[in-house]
Amino acid sequence: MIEVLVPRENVNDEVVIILNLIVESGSEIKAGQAIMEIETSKTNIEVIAPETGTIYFNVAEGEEVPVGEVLCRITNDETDGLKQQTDDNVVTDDDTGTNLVRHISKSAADAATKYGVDLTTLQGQWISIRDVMSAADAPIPDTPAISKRKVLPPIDDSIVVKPDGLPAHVTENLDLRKRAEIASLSVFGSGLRQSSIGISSPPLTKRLSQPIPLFNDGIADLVVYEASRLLKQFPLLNSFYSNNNSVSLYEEVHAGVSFDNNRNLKVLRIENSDRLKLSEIQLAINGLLAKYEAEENLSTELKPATFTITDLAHTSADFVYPLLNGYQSLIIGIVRKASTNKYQLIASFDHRVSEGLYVTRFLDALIQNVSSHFVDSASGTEDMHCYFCQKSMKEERSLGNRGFINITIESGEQVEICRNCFDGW
Amino acid sequence: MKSQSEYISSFKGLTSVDLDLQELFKRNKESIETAMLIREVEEAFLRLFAEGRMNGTVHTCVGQEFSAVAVAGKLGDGDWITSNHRCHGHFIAKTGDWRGLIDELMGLESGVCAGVGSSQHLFRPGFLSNGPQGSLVPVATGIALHHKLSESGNITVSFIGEGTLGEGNVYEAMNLASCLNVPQLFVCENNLYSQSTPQAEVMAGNIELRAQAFGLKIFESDTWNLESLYKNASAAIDYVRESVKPAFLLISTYRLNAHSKGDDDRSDEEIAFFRSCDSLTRLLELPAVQNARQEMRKTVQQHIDSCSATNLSLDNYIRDQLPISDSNSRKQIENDRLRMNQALNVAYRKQLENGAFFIGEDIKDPYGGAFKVSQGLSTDFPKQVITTPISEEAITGLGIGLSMMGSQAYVEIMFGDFITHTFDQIISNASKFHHMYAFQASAPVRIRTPMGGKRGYGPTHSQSLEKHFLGIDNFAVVALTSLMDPAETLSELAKHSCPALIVENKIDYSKFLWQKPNELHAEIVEGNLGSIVISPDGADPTCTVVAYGGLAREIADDIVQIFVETDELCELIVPLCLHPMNIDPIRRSAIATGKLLVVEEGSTPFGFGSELLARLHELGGGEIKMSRIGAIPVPIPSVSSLEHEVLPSINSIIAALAVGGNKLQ
Repeated sequence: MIEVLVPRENVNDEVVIILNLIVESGSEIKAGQAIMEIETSKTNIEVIAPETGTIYFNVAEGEEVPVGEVLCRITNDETDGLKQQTDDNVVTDDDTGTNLVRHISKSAADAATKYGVDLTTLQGQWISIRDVMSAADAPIPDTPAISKRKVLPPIDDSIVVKPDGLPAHVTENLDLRKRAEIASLSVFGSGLRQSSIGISSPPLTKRLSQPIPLFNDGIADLVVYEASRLLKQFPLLNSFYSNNNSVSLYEEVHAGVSFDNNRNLKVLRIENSDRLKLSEIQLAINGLLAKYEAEENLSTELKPATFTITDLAHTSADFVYPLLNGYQSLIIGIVRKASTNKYQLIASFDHRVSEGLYVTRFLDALIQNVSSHFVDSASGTEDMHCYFCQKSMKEERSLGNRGFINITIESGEQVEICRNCFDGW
Repeated sequence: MKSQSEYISSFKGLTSVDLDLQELFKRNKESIETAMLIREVEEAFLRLFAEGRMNGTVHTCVGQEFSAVAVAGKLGDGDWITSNHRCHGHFIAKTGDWRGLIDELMGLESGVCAGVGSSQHLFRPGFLSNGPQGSLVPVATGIALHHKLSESGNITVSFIGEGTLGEGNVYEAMNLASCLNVPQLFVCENNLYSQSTPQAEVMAGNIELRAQAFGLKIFESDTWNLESLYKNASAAIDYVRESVKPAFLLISTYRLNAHSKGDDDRSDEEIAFFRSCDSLTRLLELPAVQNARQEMRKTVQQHIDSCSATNLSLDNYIRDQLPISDSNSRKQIENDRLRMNQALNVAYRKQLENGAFFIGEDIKDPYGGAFKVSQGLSTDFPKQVITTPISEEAITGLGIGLSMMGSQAYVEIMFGDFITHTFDQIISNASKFHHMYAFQASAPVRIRTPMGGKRGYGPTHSQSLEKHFLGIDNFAVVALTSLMDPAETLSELAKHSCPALIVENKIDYSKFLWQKPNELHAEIVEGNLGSIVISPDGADPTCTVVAYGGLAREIADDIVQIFVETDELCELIVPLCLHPMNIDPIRRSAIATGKLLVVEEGSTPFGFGSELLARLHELGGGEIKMSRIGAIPVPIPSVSSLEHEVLPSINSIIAALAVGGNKLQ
């Protein structure tokens, strides 16, 4: 039996997308035969069977799979193959031969660890604690012995407290590949663990709703607002690298905004910035700026943030290489292309924690969200419809100069909604 | 404000004594005989009541008979009348069926409504009356709209007393009738008293000006000048018929008897004055009329004596129009990739193609409704899509009227919260017609509205109020969900003649119709008004969850998450019809799993879950651990975080099922 792994086709890719399974799971294949098509950032490639035998896929079409994962297994031994069907979280449906994702309840996973049950030996698509307990020959659930156990992971136990008092969770330890990468960074990268990525915006000319004067000619408020919200989807950028090969995720989002009047650079904190409305963010920045300029006591505002934004759009800079602050894994720099309305967002990140593709996705989403606050003459926002009530932008505009608001809904989808749906009826 | 004595004086000024009664009788023999018959029958009622042979109570129109004769007596067979508690005169003048009326009040099966309705609730094709004062007035507007659209040349007359002008539904109907230009004649019989209360105490301003404000053409007359009354009433009827516009006919009159019986505080002197002016009382003293009157009394008495006392049996009475589930039906669910509001648009479009009406506020293009369900419908069906004033009660009545005349009528209430305004129309009219009028009428109106919160709309735009509409006799409640294309459910409902509430859901509107994931099995059982059953594939469920509408969709989307967090593998049963309750699939599943959790977005006390659990308990047949979760019974707050805590969610289901906190263990 051999495993076919996701190949690393180029250095930038961390994941590939499964485009097409050319043969069916469970079918006989010959060495040299094309078995599936995958998409990398650069090209689509066919995966060729290295051996003759029966193939069992570990992935489904449309899935994003990290480099190094098992794509499929090829076996020429019947029993070996059957065993593999129940492996991992994919089972093959007996009737249709299609792969089904297997669901393992949290309490089943806990119990498997406790009683040393190998989950891959259990049959079926839904693995509950009952299955694990009967395999372990332990008392089945619904008895007091089991109901005393907490099913939900005891979250409090994993909280670590960063030196300045911000609560964070420890995530799972970094995997071996990542640790190897970190090690190689240290060897070949002269210890530099920070990397930067920049993305340009389309021309951002006219805002859909007029901000307070401070932001008439800039996007800092929007970047703070949207980035804070997006970080819920990109937790690795709201985190810090713990020295024991693990990552700690912050529970809260506090944006740090750097101010520099050429005397005294300061990063001032906007607390819980992901929960503030845009107008509140604007007022907060305005207030911080006033305090900073007045050189007031800033002890409260100087508390550490969980990520940082540095706005150089008002300077002549057209590039910046922002440096990460301690206990953070993201800093965003804003610069403006000389005398245009195009901005560039440059994110520096900790390569031990996140990766380029991840940060690129974050920046893409950020640019898109920031752009949604502007009239988009090129792509025709007039045709945009409110996600909730289907009202068109044209209609919304005819009701006054109001526009749509880009929000992130529970499923993580980015949608536009009209002011009525946003403010309430 | 005028004093009551000023009102009475002005009425006294209207009375004139016609000197040549002989000539009057000759010229109007037929109509005067109708008035005599009305008085004769009502006097027989008072005798029967005294003898204890009559059911309920009576409100006689003694002194007002000529109003009935002048208006109701001049209508054609195709014209309709809606009347009120004082309706005997209108009924006899319109239908001539005094025998059926007497039988009705004696509670006999041979009565016009088989004895169910008695004095106030009468029905014959072309005539209906009901006890609540203004409730039928908007229904009459609907009937008039039917006349207009069918170009039949018929009209509708709504009789009200001036006391009914205290009710808002009358003004909603006047406005609506005027906006829609329907042939509806509002006839206001002003007898100076609302039961025992003098007009001066409860009538501000001026009656005619109230009607005039809605653009109604005003006609005025009184019952003391017979030929002038006939002339004016006919002019009003002709105007409405020919111009196809509403009008208002104000008839000054005086009730010589008590409002009902024994509730009369008016002065003897005042009553005596009007009695002396009453044309019918004076005519009855003529020798020629006396003979005819004796004959009439004999005929009436003979009929009463010949009545055979057959009463409607309970078995024949209780049959209702509610849908019955088809226990043999089951099919897989497959949905197109459409958003729910688009799917609803397609489904209602299909009903419009079958001739249905679509009525509501702001539903016309280009706006196309607050949630865009009606987008494009008014363009394609301009006559059937009726955009209306903000008059939830009147438009429900309008739908009842249209549906009673044989059309499907869908009435949109923009937010479920405003459905409270429709309650009287549902309770007093729609749900009752079928039984109250002894199976001669149906009101298959469909009131459709979005319920549900989680959009931050706050206390009055987020509620799920359907529980208050559950359990109304002969009134179905259907809850649509994006788990299944609503088209077939609506087509199925269209086959039934009961009125119904169709509950939609705001959050559900923007969702794509559910696409079943591989690990689940989904089918609709017991017909298209039955229940959706969603079960895990390849494993036996360990718990039954019942939910409907938008919340059912949320749960279906998260069955895996619930399993991962709680170890409970749910079978989700989603009833499409909340009333009548489709209990069998729920019971089967709950007996198999032994656990039942009912989730509703409204608050739980006295709700859908309460009824469901009570029914299961009565049916017995297995030990089932049961629990309910729903909204906390407080007004729904606007602030999002608090709103999500108040309303049930996946998290509250997980909390309810989690080991340790498991309500079902």
